[in-house]
Amino acid sequence: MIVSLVSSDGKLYQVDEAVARRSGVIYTVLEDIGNQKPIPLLNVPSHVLKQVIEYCEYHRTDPLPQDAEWSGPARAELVRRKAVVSDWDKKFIDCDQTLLFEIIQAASYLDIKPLLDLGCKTVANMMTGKSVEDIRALFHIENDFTPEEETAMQVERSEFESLYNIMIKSMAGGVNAPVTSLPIPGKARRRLRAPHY
Amino acid sequence: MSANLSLFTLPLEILIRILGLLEGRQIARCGAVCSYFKHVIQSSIVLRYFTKLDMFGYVDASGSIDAPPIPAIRLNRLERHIHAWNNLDWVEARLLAPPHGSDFGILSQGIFATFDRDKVYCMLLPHLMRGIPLRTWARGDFEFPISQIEINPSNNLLGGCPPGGLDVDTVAVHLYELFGNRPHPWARNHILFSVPTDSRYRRRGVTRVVGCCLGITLCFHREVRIEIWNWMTGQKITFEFLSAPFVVVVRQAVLEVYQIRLETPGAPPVHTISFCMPRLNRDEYRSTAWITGKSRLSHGVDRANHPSGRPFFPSPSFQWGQDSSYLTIECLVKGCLFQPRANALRDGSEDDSYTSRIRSWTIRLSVCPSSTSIARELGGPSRYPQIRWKDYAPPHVIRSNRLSDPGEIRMGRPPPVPLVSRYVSLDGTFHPRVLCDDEHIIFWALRCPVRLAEDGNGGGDRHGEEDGVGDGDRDEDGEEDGHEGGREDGDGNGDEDQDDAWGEDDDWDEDEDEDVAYVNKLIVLTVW
Repeated sequence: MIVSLVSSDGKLYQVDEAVARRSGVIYTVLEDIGNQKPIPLLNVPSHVLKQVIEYCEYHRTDPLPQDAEWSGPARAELVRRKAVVSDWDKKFIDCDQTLLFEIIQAASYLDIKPLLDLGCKTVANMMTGKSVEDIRALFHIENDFTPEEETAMQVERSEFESLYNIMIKSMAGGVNAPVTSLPIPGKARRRLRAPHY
Repeated sequence: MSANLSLFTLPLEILIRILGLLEGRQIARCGAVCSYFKHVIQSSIVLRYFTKLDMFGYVDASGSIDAPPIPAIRLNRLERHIHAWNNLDWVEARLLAPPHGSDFGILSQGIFATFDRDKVYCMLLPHLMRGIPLRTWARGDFEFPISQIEINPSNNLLGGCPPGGLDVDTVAVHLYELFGNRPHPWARNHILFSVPTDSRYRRRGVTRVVGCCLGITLCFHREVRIEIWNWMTGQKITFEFLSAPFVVVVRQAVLEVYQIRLETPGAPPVHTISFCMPRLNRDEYRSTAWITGKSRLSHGVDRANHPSGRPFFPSPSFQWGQDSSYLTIECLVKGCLFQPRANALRDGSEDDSYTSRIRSWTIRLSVCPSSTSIARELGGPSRYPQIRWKDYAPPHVIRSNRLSDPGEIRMGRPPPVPLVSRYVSLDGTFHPRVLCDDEHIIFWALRCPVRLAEDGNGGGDRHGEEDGVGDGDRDEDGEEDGHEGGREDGDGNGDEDQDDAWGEDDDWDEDEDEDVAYVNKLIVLTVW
């Protein structure tokens, strides 16, 4: 069976039914209306639809994902698997930001969970380990905080940043130069003797 | 679709989904990027929950029976929990007879365990709020004399070490189930062996379990060596296995942090930073090492079966461990660095009539309230960052040295430390040890002197209680005895009698007369 899909700019794409059914929306349409007319996808332009179809063609034999609750262990699992992206997927998603967001949006619109996950993971991976300025630069975001807000947030954030994280940072060689081991310098040793102990 | 599609034009749910894939710290950082992100993060309960969870070193335990399914309730609980720790506002304090066993005890996730040569005694600490009753049990099915134990309730693991004598070069750790009576089913080998290359190394100090990693320290004079296994597979872990591993070694009032170099496996850890512990006697320290590592409990977590059924667990990446050395320990729990000290308050100062009359045991808990001050110190110019301490004291918890009277325990917010003119330390009579986990603080008073009453009634009571401690079924007895003692004191004697007792008591800590009995006591403060 061949399903016809029409992109928002009017281009016709013909795909296998198995490929088309990977999209939850198209699946529902096929179940409800049947496969008589071309299906119009008003929110998906042709260059994105091409990519989406390519993805679905490649993953046509994958099992359809179960509905996982997006919290708790499901999330932990997601976070843990975040780094695990297959080579083909990596190559596929390696495109410029605009297209990436378009693919994410299309995947969300067409309800293709694995593709949506892949896109979200990619964006999350882009953000991981980045500083605030890096993220701003990466996504061309303007800093719209007032200086007052910024300082308030600095305090708030330092409350949040765990000791662990701070240590990692300091160990990476920034804030503190490595301190030599024992013996304790005299001043510190004197400090150890408690005044009231 | 417009060409300038960006993160902003994505539907909100997708943005939340993306942010939800990040670690908590990173989510918080994204909140500082722009006001839209901040708004998104603030408005999403799930994101806020995960941010806080990660920030304060917890992992979500959704499988737990006690975990409410709605993120809002979880967030609420988490916030209450954090608040309780930051303010040390304990909800519950009680006095328990400790399980039988040696002077070494560990507290991990609500289970307190001690051991003697043949048996391991465990005690599930009660929790009023969650309706967890006190439960004690003993394990005696070991084929070896025990010299050291380590428990990890979330993995149902009990690791026991036989003593290593002068003629024994091998260090072994036996892995058993904590709640069952058999070798641990997840462990491929039930005994982990280590043959130190240098036979002078003796195991000493701490065994620790962090996730799937179990580590022991071998000490020889001032050298510390650390061995880490994956206890499930039985393989010795070269240090590169841990993703962000740090080893914290306490040496003589200095807390040293070592980083294990990932790029060169097997290389000795690099010393990176030191913290200077203030106000400590050098004798109070033993060379002790903690093992910590950022190894997630990624596989084999048995959270659902955990008896206390907590909604969230301390994340193993955040466990800084507890010092098991004597007299004084420091714990880094929830970003707080505890330095508890116990003092016998003999006379109060003139301006504080309350304490001068009571002459109570005072346990002071110095708390560095959050990691922020440490962070500030870290950024500062000081070579050995000095941590600022804040004193909390729960003087109302123990108002007299009659530690067996539960009526004397009061709940509520700990008042500020009373001004006390002098402290008197009682050498050799009161060895409090303080243990912390994510919910409890235990003051473990070993051999704390209890003055016997003259009428013999109270004395008998005390003796009876001591016998009760020795019995097998001490879980009920200890408490009941305590209650009886409290009632008798309250009914018969009243305040006058107490005054008299104080008056006669002037010199009791100078001559260790026969009026003083020694009882082990656990003072359990449930912080949350």
